[in-house]
Formats: sequence, C-alpha cells, structure tokens
Amino acid sequence: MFNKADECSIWLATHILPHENHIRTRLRRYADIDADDIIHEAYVTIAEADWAGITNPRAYFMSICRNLVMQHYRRARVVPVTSLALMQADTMPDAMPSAEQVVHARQEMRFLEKAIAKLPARCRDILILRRARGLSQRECAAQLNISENIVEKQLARALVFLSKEYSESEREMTVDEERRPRLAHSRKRQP
Amino acid sequence: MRRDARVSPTLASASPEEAAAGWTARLDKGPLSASEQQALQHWLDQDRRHKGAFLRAKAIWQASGRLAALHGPTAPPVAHPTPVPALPRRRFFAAAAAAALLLATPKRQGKANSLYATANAVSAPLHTAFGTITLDCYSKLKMGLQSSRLVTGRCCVLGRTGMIVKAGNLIFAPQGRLLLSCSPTQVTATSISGTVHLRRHHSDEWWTLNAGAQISLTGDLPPEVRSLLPEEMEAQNAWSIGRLEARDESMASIASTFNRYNQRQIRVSPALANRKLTGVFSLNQPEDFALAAQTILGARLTQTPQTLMLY
Repeated sequence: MFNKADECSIWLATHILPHENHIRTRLRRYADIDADDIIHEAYVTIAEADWAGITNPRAYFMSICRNLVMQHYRRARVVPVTSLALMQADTMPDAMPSAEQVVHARQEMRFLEKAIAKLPARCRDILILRRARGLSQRECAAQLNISENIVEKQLARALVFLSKEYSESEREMTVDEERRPRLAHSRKRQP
Repeated sequence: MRRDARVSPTLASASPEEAAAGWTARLDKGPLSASEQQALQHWLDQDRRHKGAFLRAKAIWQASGRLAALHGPTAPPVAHPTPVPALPRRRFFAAAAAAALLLATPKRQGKANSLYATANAVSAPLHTAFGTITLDCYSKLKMGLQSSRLVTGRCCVLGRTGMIVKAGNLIFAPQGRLLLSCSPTQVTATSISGTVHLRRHHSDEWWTLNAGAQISLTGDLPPEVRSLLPEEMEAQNAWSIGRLEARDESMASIASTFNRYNQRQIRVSPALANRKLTGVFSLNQPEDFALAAQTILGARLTQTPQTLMLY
C-alpha cells in the first residue's frame, strides 16, 4: 500500500519529528553550529540507515546529531573549547525513554490542532480539506472555487509554517496528563 | 523566514524549508514532468541539507495526516439520519438464515435469539434490522431482535440509528463503523467512522466516541479513551476488510495471525521467528505471504497441502 519512501516518511513522522524539539534544545548549547543544518543532515543519515531496526529513535537521533556536530568542529578552524568540553561530558547516550518521554499521539494531535489554528483562514481551510478530509488538490480547488495552483501554493505555505512550529515550539513532551484514565471528550445524553 | 514568503519549488531564492515544502506540495498534486523531475533532482543533489529538508517536509506532511482523526471524514460511509422502523420478525429470520457460512445454533426455541460462532475464518456480514455485523475468527455473537451481544472475540459493526450492540459491561449505539473486541477482562471499542453513543450497564449517562477514538474498559476501572493515528486505525480495521497489515512485526507473530484465519498453517523455524517484516497481505492467502517472506528473507519454503514451512 505504501512505497518505501512513504514508509520512511511515516517512520520519520512518528519516531523522529516528535523528538526534534528535545534535540534542538540540546543542540542549542553548542556554539557556532546551525541547528537546522545539523537536523537536516541527521534526517538524511537516518533515512539512509536501516531505520526500521532502530529501537530507541530518540537516542539514535541524538547520537547522529552529536556526531554531526563533532564532524563540524573537526572541519572548523576555530573550535569553541566550551562546546568541546560539553561534547565530552555529553557522550553518555540517552537511556531508553521513560514513559513520560514517549510522545503521545493525542498530544501530537493537540499540538497540530493548536498550530493550524494559527494559520491564515484560507490556508487552514485548504490544509483541512486536503489532509483531514482527504480531498485531492483538484477537489479542494473545485470546492473553494480557486485554482489548483493556489491550492498547491497554500499547502506549501502551510507546510513551511508547520515546519517552523515543529522546530520552534517549546512543547513539553510528557504524557502524565494523558495517562490518567478519563472518559470520552464529549459527554452528552442520548436524545 | 518571512511568513508571507511565496513558496515555489522553482524559486531560486527560497530557503531549503520553503523549497522542500514547495516540492512536497507539488508532488502531492500529481506526477512531475520530466523537466520538473530534473529540477528536483538537481536541487536535491546540490546540497545534502536540501535532501534533509525534503525528507523532513515529507515527514511533516505525513504528520499532518493526523488531522483526519480530529476532523474526521466529510461524511461517514454509513449513516442514515432518519430512524428506520423495526424490521418484521419474518425478515429478521430470513436475514439470519442467509448467513449460511456460519455455525448458527438457535439458543432457545421460539425466541429470536441466535448464537453465532466462527472458527478459523471471518463471517459473512450478518444482517440485522439496523445494519450489519461481521464476526472475526474465533468469536461469538448473540443476536436478538432488539440488540446483539458480542460474547467473545471481535466484530465489526456497520450501524445506523437503532443498532444496539453490547459487549461486557458496555452498551453501544453506533451510527457508522465500529470495531469491538471483548475478552473476559477487557472490552475495547474503536470508532472507525461516524459516531458511537455508549453507556455502562445500569447507568443512564451516555458518552460519544467520534471517528478515530478508542475506548477500553478493564474490569471496574474507569474507561480509558484515546485517539488513534490514521495508520493505527488502518491496522486495526484491516481484518474486517480481509487484510493483514504488518508493520515491523516478527515472522512468528505474523504467522500466528495467518494461522488463526486459515486451515493451511504456516510454520516458521526458530531462526526466522524473530525476523521482522512490513507489508500488507491478504488474510486468506497465506501462500502469497509465504512466497513474499521466502523472497525477502532468503528463506526456504516447503509446501504440503496442510502446511507452509519456512526455514
């Protein structure tokens, strides 16, 4: 049903993307690096690896990023000494994530819901029609009486926005709140 | 990065994120022309970070598919807004009798209560006055005129107003597609489309489950509700459409699923048991799976009329 590239995207979306914020926080401590560059390179390295066999994606993601930072410093003419010290102190790999560190699907959805609420109305409508309702770009265009070109551009714009949200948001990735047994979101009496 | 920046795959001044988003949206529209394909390849080859930005944009695109669980499909495939009058007894019996593939044993004479049980196969859809119920393998369903009860196992309910299905301590009124599973200790219900109203026995408080939500009730503990990702929903719904979806699942576990649904049993040697596979297979074609596993894992396959031996 999915080709290899789709499977890889799904895997990255499920196991890597949710940890980006945590990794970026750790990367920020290192001087003279561009976190975006490191993250982008890490995606390539992970996609080229046997990602399906990775058992602790967050720790793997972090170690890839750390290696990339190290490579960057090896090539740099001036290496910030504090960063190098940090790097050495940082060699302990992440242990298996505890339950609190595992990002809950529901929490991810809440994040997405908040993020798309900030999109301009038309951009949001198009994204919802395409990704939530499953209409094709052509059908979205017909429904909103706009050109397909606009649909494509607005979807790209929504993606850029979401990309920014994923890299900048200060989400706390814990599930404490989610773990509490609770009842359905809407409680209503049967008419 | 400017918020109002125009994003286009061809825009030379676009940042890697903008260009990656542009290409992802373009690919979603339809296949690329030869020149576009060339332009994309050129851009990807220019810098390893472009490739990373592109992979990340595609991952974000996939993640945005989770919006479906929040907003649901436009219209549930089965949802009749108007109440359907109760079906006459005679038609009910005709419908019940039509399910000839099943072992149907009337529980008590003279009452419209039938016990349906499946062995190693999925049942044909059982028609009730308010929709259909399909039983998974090794499951039992008690069907009455007013309501049905899943005694054990799993079923898929396609219901409209009036459909009542019970499982364990819960009573469901689904309008749409509902997956139910019931074991002596736990009841789990997943709303695939439409909505489901539900309540506990001896309680008049109703809750609503929307498409993509799942409720589990274990013993006397409070019910637990969670939302499923689209891919989780597909995996859970797979059996009811005759599919087996394996995502990084061990050979032993895939074989045991096939063996529950088929006469012809798959045997996996210990050396292969922990190897993992991902793929979508037809539940009642263990032969196709065995051939695929043979090719992918470089295993050997011996076939007898009763077994498929992989080693």
